[in-house]
Amino acid sequence: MLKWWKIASIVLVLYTLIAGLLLPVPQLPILAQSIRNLYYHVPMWFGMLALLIASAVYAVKGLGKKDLLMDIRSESYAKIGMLYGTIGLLTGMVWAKNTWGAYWTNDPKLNSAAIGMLMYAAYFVLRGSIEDEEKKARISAVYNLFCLPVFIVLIFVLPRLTASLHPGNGGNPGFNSYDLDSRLRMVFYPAVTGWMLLGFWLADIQIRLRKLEFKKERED
Amino acid sequence: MKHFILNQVQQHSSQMPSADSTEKFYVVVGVIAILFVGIVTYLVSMDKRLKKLED
Repeated sequence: MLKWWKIASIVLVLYTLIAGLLLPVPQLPILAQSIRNLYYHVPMWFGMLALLIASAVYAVKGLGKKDLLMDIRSESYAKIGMLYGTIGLLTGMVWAKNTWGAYWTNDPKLNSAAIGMLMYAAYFVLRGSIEDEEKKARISAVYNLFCLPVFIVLIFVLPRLTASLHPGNGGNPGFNSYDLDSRLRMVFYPAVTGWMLLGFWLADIQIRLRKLEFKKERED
Repeated sequence: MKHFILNQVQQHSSQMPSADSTEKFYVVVGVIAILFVGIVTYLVSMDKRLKKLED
C-alpha cells in the first residue's frame, strides 16, 4: 500500500490541476489569466527549497554518523531539488516572456536564482570528481552546508534589497497582496503542499534506486 | 426576409471564432487530468516494482 503522503500528493496535485484551471481568479492588469501560474510556477520554488533543506539535514546526519546511506539521501534530495529549480526557471521564463516581454531580464531575483543553481551544479561536479565514497560523502556534505545558506540569501534576501520586477521584491508588492484573495488561497496552499510532496516522492524513488545500485556495487 | 437570413448567417459566422470564449475549455482540463493520472499510475507501478526488488 502506498504511503499516506504519496496518496496525498496525488490528490492535491490533481485538485491543483483541475481547480487551478477552473476556479475563478481575480482580474489583474497585465497578468490576466496568467495569474494561474501561481499554482504551478511558484510551488516549484517552494518544493525546491524544501528538498534542499532536506538535503542539508541529511548532509549533517551523514557527517555525524558517517553513514553512506545518509549521503545517498542527501544527494537524491539535492537532485530532485535541482529538477524542481530547473522547471521553476523554465516556467518562469515562459511567464516572463508573456508579462514582462522577455524570457530573461537582468533582474536580481532571476540572476540570483541562476547563480544559486550553478552552485548546486558545482555540487554534482564535485561529487563526480571524488572516487573514494567516504571522502565524497564528507566533502560534498560540507559543500552542501555552504550552498544552502548562500542560496537562501541569494534568492530571499538580496533581491529584496534592490529594485526588482519579480513580485515580493524591492518595493514590488508580493503575491501576498493578491494572496489575501481567498480565491487564490484555496488553490495555492494545496498546490504548494501537493507539488512539494510529489517532489519528495520522486526523491524517495531516486533514493531507493541509488540504494539498490549501491548494494549491487558492493556485491560485485 | 432575405435580410433577416443574411443577418443570421453573419451573426453565426462572427460568433464562431470567438477568442475569449471558454467554450470546451473543460475538455483541456479533462485531458490534463488524464495525463497526470497516467503519469502517476506509472509512478505508482515503479514504486511497487522497487518495493519488490527491495524485499
